[in-house]
Amino acid sequence: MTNFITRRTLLRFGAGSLGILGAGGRLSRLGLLNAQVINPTPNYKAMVCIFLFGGNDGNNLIIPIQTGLQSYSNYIGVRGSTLGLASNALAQTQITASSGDVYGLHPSLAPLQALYQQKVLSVLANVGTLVKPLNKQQYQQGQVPVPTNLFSHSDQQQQWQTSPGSHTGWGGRAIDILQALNAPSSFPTGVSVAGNSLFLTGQSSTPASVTNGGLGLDGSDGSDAANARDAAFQQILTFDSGMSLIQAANRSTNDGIQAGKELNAALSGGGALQTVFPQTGLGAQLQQVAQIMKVRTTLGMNRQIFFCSQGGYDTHTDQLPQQTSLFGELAGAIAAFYNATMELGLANQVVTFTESEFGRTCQPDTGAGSDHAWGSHQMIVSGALKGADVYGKFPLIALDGPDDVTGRGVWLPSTSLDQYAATIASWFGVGDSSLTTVFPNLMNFTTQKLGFV
Amino acid sequence: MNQQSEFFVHAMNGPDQLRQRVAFALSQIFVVSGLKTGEPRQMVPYQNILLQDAFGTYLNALRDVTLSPTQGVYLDMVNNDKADATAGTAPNENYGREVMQLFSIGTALLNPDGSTQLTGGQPTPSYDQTTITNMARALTGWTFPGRAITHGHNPENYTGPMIAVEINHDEGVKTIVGGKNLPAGQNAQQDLDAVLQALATHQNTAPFIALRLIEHLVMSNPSPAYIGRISQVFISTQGDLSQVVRALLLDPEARQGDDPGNPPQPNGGHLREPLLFVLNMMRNINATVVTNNPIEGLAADMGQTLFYSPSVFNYYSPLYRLSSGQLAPEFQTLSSATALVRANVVQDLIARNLDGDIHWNMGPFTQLASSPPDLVNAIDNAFMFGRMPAALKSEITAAINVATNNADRVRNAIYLIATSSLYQVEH
Repeated sequence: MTNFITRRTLLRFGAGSLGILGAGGRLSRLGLLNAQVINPTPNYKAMVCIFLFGGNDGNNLIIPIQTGLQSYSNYIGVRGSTLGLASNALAQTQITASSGDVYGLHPSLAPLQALYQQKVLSVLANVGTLVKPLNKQQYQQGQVPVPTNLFSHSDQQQQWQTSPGSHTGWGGRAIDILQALNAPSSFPTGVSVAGNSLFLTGQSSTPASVTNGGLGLDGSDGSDAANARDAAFQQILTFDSGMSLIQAANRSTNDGIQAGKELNAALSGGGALQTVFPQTGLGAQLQQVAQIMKVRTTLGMNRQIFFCSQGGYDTHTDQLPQQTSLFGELAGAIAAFYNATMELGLANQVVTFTESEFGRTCQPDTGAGSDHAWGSHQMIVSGALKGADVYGKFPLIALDGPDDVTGRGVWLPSTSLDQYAATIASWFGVGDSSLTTVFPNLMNFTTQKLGFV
Repeated sequence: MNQQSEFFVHAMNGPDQLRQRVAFALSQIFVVSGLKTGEPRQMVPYQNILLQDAFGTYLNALRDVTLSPTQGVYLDMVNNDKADATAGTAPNENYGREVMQLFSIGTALLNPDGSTQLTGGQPTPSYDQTTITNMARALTGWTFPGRAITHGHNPENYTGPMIAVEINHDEGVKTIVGGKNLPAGQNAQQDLDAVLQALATHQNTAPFIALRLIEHLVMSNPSPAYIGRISQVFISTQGDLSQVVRALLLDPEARQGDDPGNPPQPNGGHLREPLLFVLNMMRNINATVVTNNPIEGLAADMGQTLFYSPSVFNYYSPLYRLSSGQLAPEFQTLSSATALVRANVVQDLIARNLDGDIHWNMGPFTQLASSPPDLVNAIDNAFMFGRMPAALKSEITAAINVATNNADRVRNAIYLIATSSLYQVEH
């Protein structure tokens, strides 16, 4: 039982295979501080997607205090005491946009206020899934196509990972175009530390997945009998049963063996990170990402895309305490991860960004929560940002106002997911001529890149 | 004994195997999750409802699920009150939405064979945001069971169905799913009955539930004709789940592969989900489960934590597809990493009896092991109903012949069959 408990406990606390990863020698703290960080991969770039499953309520992520459009009274007028954050708390986490507009971040996001002040965090306001630009009247009269099944978790989770109308992930399509930059390495460009990821699945690319206990096969003791068994195991994977699901399962196992072998070998020589990560689910995922980035040279990587996730954002009831805790975990993990990219000398070569399937109604429901909505605010963290700012067009917080399409504070997005994603993908290396291949809806928008990075 | 261990004891040893299996399938349609309702006082009565209703009518199951305080907490129907103009709040839309999207009709109108109806090339929506708002209003006014009260809410209590508090119910006129109008002045029970009736008799419900049950119990990619036949049984029996289950298990398409002359179709079968993968293996080797067993943890490592679905969209989505476009719900749990975890669980099972927590008498296999072909035949019968392809048989026979010790031969033979995708994809 002991063996089993150890594995389970690791998983529960989200440490994953870090116990294994940390086994390689430790750099002494002093050694690290004294050494000039020499970056062996000046052309390396990575994108890290943090998906907030459940539909994050962006209305309480960033709150207008005094802007050209509105003030805190607009916000509190709609949210009331049910979901409104107190102005004195928001005063502690204020940020100022280049326009002079003043916003408050959710109090749990204080670590991210610090990143904003270091000019390595920006916010993109009111971004959502769109096929084409449209106004409220066009939406209500159904004159312009909109994404299918707005407000549905499964559909919008899929569309945020694929872009509306596509069936492969937009990260995967970027990989299809750029994976040649990793030649001759055979290690996958996409790595998910949060299970199977549609985001990273392209036409010609399949991501590796990293999870506890899944880096290699157990039970080979080197005996003739064990070697014969392992050889037969490999042989059986090549049998063609003529059944597509069986072949698909064989592919997953083959991919796992190949990626596990390479990753295990690389990580065993990787050494530990100095950066301390919070012991949370997301903290452990981002620590795993940083560990893999640390061995990028051994893996032969010039480009990598990672997928992480945090669940629990479907706050239909008792939202305030839940979001306080969720944002605490999110901010702590993002801040630690940014520090790790500094430690690795990669702060300017990594862009971390949030996604979430939709925002939530600004009007509270009777259970002190909020319901499914549309446009919401997302965050981008990188040393490569062109300063810190609030990008995009903030909605006017007013029920039945010009940005509310249902009367409950459901914001019509003013920026599309495709514009948001294309901006990051362009920085990552997807050329202008390929952007509309990766993002077919992009041709419907005059501004294709938003310029935050 | 915790509730997860108890589940496995019943799943392995219960005399009502089909009921256990169907209730488990229903638990993946009418989902609750321990992430919100994990206490035994919440989870146990809910699972018991599904066991009890597994062979009753769909309408009855939907009613019991809807009024369950556990489901009430999970999707927020409990204490969901009508709009409050002073506080500026509106009814919570969670249950009103998901009962349509996931428990009954889905987002698009369906034909009786499960195919999607299109308008201008796009799926025809079965409802819109206005329907959801009205469904939410129709379902207001329910609280925890307990004292009959005239205002406020009862304290948490999970024994029995939720009860209505009329003052919290929205009595206004509403247009609900299927365009049905609810007149003003109906009480909470009347509105609820109308909602349940509208859902149970909606044109989508028969094919929707038929497909969900086939996906869980038989195969990922049933033909439209097969879905159509089961959907017809659903309609003609007023949603009698015992008749629906009987029909879908005995359908000729489900029985493909029973006879070597009638092999499964190329897109047939479905991946054994982690929980069933471990249970099936244990059954194949005649293992017995101790009361505090570790199966929950093993399945969790493979991507399925019993009673802790990540969301109301189940451990894996019924809509999950391979990159080829083929439906493959259980594959959502199978990544390049969990594929190896699955093999390592097999290793754990054969080499360490799952770290000593199951009992397994290897004897019947060991006594055949001096003749590898006999042993492989026995393993074939235990795991593959004697249908193991000749090439696989000879590969395994040759490999285990290298082992000099009979127990190693048994372990290696089981390892090779149980890790093979031919076994992992049930067909």
